[in-house]
Amino acid sequence: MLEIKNLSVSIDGHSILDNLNLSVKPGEVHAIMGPNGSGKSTLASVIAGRDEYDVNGGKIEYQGEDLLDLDPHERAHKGVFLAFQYPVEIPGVSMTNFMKAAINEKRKALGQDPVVAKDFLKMIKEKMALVKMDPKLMSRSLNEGFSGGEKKRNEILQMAMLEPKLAIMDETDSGLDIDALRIVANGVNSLRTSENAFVVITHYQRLLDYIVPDYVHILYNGQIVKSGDKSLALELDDKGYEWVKEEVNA
Amino acid sequence: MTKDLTPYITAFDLMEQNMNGLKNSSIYPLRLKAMAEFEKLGIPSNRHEEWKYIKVSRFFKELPAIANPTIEPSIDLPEFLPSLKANRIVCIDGVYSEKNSSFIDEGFNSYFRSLQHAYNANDPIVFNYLNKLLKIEEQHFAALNMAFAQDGVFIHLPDNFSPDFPIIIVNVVTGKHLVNSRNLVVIGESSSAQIIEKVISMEDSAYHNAATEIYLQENAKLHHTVIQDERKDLCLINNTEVLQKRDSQYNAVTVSLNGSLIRNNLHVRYDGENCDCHLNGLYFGRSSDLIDNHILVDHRKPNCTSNQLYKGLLDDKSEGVFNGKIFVREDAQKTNAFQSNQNILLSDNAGINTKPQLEIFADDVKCSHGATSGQLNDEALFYLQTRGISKERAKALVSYAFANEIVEKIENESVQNYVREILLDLFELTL
Ligand SMILES: Nc1ncnc2c1ncn2[C@@H]1O[C@H](COP(=O)(O)OP(=O)(O)OP(=O)(O)O)[C@@H](O)[C@H]1O
Ligand SMILES: [Mg+2]
Repeated sequence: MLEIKNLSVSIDGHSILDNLNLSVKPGEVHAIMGPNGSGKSTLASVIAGRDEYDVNGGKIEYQGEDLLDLDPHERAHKGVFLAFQYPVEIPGVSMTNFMKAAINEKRKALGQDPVVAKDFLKMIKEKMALVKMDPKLMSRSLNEGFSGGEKKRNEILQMAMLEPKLAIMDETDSGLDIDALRIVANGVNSLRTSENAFVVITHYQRLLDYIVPDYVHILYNGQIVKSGDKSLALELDDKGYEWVKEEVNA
Repeated sequence: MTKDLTPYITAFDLMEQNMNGLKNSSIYPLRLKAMAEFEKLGIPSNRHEEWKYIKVSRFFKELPAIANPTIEPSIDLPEFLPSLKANRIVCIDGVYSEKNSSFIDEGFNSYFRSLQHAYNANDPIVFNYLNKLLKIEEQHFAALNMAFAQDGVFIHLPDNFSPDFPIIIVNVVTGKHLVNSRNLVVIGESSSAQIIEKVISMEDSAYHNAATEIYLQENAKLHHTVIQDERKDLCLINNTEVLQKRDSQYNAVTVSLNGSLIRNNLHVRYDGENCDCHLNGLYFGRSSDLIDNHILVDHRKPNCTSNQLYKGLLDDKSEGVFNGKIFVREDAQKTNAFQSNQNILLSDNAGINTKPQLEIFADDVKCSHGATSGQLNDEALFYLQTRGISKERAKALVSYAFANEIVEKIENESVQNYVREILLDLFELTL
C-alpha cells in the first residue's frame, strides 16, 4: 500500500530524512518511535504533502501511484489521512461547515453527490459517540480554544468521518488522560479492517498496549535504524534510546 | 488650484438661476458659501495629507457631469432585501422619490421628510442641524455636496420613540454622472433606530458623493449599516459625521465589497459623558480597487468608550487604506478607546497602508491600537488541504471566516445573510 524508498528530505538546506525506507501493507499497524527531533513529524508531513519540505531523493508510492505528484487534497481523496501532532486552530471556520466541506470534497472527487444533511448529522452523531466528544464542540470554530485532549479527539473524529485507507497518527496519545487514551485507541481499533493501514507515531509503549502494532520502527538521524515487533517497544520503554544510538554510531 | 473647475462653476450658475423659489430660504446662502469653499479647495490631489494614499484625482481627470434631476426618470428599481419588512426611502439621483418609497411604520411620514421639502418651507429645525457637523471649509467633497445636493433624507425621531422596523435608504444613480446625496438624521432622547444604506447604480459606472450628519440625543441609539456591493466601476465617497450626547450609542458597520474607488470618512464626536460607539468595517478589494477608510473618534468628554474594528481582504492589485484617529481631549478622563485593523493580502501585488493616529491629552486613559497584515496562515491551509479541501477552497473558507466576524456585527439578521450571500458568491463557496 505504501512504499517509501530511499527518501531524503531537507528544509532550507538542512537535511532531516536521509535515505529512509518503509513498507506498509493493507491491514497492518506500524508504530514509529524515536527521539525528539529525529524526523517523525517530518516524515508524516511529507507523506501528507506539505510543500515546505524539499524532497531531494527517493520516492513514495501509494497504491502503486507516485504520491509526491499529488496535491495534499488529492492524497486525502485517495485515502491518506494525517492526525496532526499539533492540530491547527482555525478561527471562524465552524466545525460543522468544515466537516461538511471535507466530506463533500471527497465525494465530489469520487463522483458522488453532496451528502444529504440528515445523513451527515446522523453520521457525525455516531462518530462523536465513538470518540466520546462533546456535541457542543460542533458549533464552535475548528479547534479554536479546544483543550489539548479535545483537539486530539477531534483528529480521531475527522479520521472516523473520512474513513481513510492509510492513517498516520502523529503523537495522538500525547496529552491524553488514561480514559481518553482508551477512547482514542478504541476508536482506532473499531476502524481497523484488512483493507486499511495505520502508522502510529508515539513516544509511549503504553499506547501500544491498546493499539497493538505489527511492526515497531525506530527513527533516528533521519533513518529507520531498527525494526522489530511489539517487543521492541517494550525494550525501548525499559532501556531508553542510548543503546540504539550506540549501535548506530558504532 | 490644480484642476479647472469651470464645468462645475457653470453648472452651479445654471442651478442658481433655477433656484428662484429658494432665494428666501436659508439653504441659498449656504449653497453659495459651499460653492465658494469648493472653488478654493477643488478636487484633492494626493499631495494632500488626508488623500495621500488614494489617487482620487485618477477618477476626476475629467470632471464627471453633475446629475441634474429635473423630472423623475422612470426606472425599474432592482430589489434590495425584498423580504425585509422596513421603512424604505428611495432617492433617485439625489432626489426623494415618493413613488418608490414605502413606509410600514404607521406615522413614519411625520418623522421623515425630504430635505427639499424642509428647504422650501424654510423650516428652522432643519437649519439647526444642517451643515453643522461637516466642515465645508476643509472637506472637499462635503463642500461639493453642500453646493449641489438639491434634496435628501431628513429623519427626525422624537424623544422616546423607536420605529418598529428598520429604515432602508437606497440611493439610485441613473447615469454615468455624479450624484450628491444627503442625509440628516436626528435621533431623539431615549429613542433608537436602525438605518441600512445602499447605493444602486443603473449604469456600469457612476459617482456618488454622500454627506450624512447624525445627531444622537441623550440616551439615543443608532445601528447604522452601509453596504457598498455593486460590482461596477463606481466611485463612492462618504462623508459621515456623528455627534453624540450623553449615554448615547452609535454602532456602525461599513461593508465595502465592490467599487473601484471607495472613500469613507467616518467621524464621531462625543458631546457628553458615557457615550459609546462601535465602528466596524469590512473591505474586500479586487482588480485595481482602492478602498480607503478614514476614521476619527473625538473623545471630548470623560467616561466614554470607543471601539474600531476594521478587517480587510485585498486581492489582485487592489489597495486598502486605513487611517484611524483617536483624539482624547484634556477633559476626557476615564476614556477607553480601542482600535484594530487586520488585513489579509491575497496577492503579492495587493497592498495596505494602515496608519493609527492617537493623540492623547488626558492622563487617565486606556487606549490600545493594533494593525496586522499578512498572508493567510500556511499551517491552517495545509491542515484543511489534508482533509481533502483544495488550496483554493481552503483560502476561500479561511477568508470567509475572517470576513464573517464583521458580518456578525450587523444588527439585522436579514442584512447579515444578504452580505454572507455576496461573500459566498465572491469566494465561490457553498456552505
Ligand atoms: N520548518 C522547519 N524549519 C526548520 N527546521 C525544521 C522544520 N521542520 C522540522 N525541522 C527540524 O527537523 C528536525 C525533525 O523535526 P520533526 O518535527 O520531524 O521531529 P520529530 O521526530 O517529530 O520530533 P518530536 O518527537 O519532538 O515531535 C528537527 O530538528 C526540527 O527542528
Ligand atoms: Mg513530531
